[in-house]
Amino acid sequence: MMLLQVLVLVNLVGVGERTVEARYAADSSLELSAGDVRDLLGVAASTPYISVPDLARAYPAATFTWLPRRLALIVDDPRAVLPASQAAQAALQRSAQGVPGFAYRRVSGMYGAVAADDSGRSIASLGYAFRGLVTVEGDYLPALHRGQWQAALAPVPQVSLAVAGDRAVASAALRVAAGPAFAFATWQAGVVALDVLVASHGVSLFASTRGALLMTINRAPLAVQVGRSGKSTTARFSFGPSPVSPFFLPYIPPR
Amino acid sequence: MLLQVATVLQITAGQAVTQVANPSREPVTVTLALWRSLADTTAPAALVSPAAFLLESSATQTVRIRAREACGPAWRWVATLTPLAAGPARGATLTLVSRLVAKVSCR
Repeated sequence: MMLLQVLVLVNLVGVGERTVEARYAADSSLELSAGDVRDLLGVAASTPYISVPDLARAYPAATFTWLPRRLALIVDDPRAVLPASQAAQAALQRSAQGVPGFAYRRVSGMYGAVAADDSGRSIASLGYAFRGLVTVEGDYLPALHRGQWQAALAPVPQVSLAVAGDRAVASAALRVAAGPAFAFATWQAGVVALDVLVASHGVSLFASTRGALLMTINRAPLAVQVGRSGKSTTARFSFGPSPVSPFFLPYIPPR
Repeated sequence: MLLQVATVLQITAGQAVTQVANPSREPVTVTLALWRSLADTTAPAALVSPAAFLLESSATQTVRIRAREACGPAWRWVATLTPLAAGPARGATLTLVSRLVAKVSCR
């Protein structure tokens, strides 16, 4: 039997959308091809086509709204139970990790501050931020007769560079978050530190030259972390609606 | 009547989205097609989704088109609107079928 083909805009809210070729099944339910379901929602199917009611049954926490007059399938996944939502959240977490604070604001202008404490120390700051792309700032400490400066550059959300110093460059930091990888390198007083994270299919591996190693498995709403720092190994099992950050080792307060 | 379909169908990178509206008081059946030109009414290789449907009064339907061959500037976008009879007819009935032919712009 010839099934009716239909072009459908599939929108995974907050993640992305694409127009795909779907079809109406014999019972008039909408069916998406397994390839499109894998690409858009990250869900692997064992059959060539999977119906929207079957997807809704498999992921009851997500809402699948078929709008035939708009030829649109709206997939709302606020709990991030779909693998594509989890991957998007993880990518957002990686791209936001270590971003300079000014990069979130798209306004330009001068800024400044004066602070003092009851011991007589004070600091005056003056800077300029340009559209969340560049910021330069100078600070002066009158009691020490010393000035310092810092500059930061975030030309694209995936890359940022920050440099600070006084009469010479004292520290620098470079952050790159591209695709499944994240790297954060710092240099201060001649010492270089490097943090690297690689993620794939909900499994993240974080390593730092500061002696930290962490593996995180996020399978919403569950997460497992195993990390090693110094001479201690820590494991953590957690549950909840928010994914666990793969950048921070589980912490247990000392006795 | 002209507000029922777009006067120009814009096909960008082989894909297009357009609307068909029914501002009348009666439901209409709509059939949609692409022609190669005004002189050649054969359909180019393209998926029109949906190609035929019923549109109630004041309703709007989104239509998506995916061309499977290179878009031609002579193509025409053809919408045929047939009003449905409100009830059983008594005596002779005159049905006005509208066919709107729009230009296709390729990008």
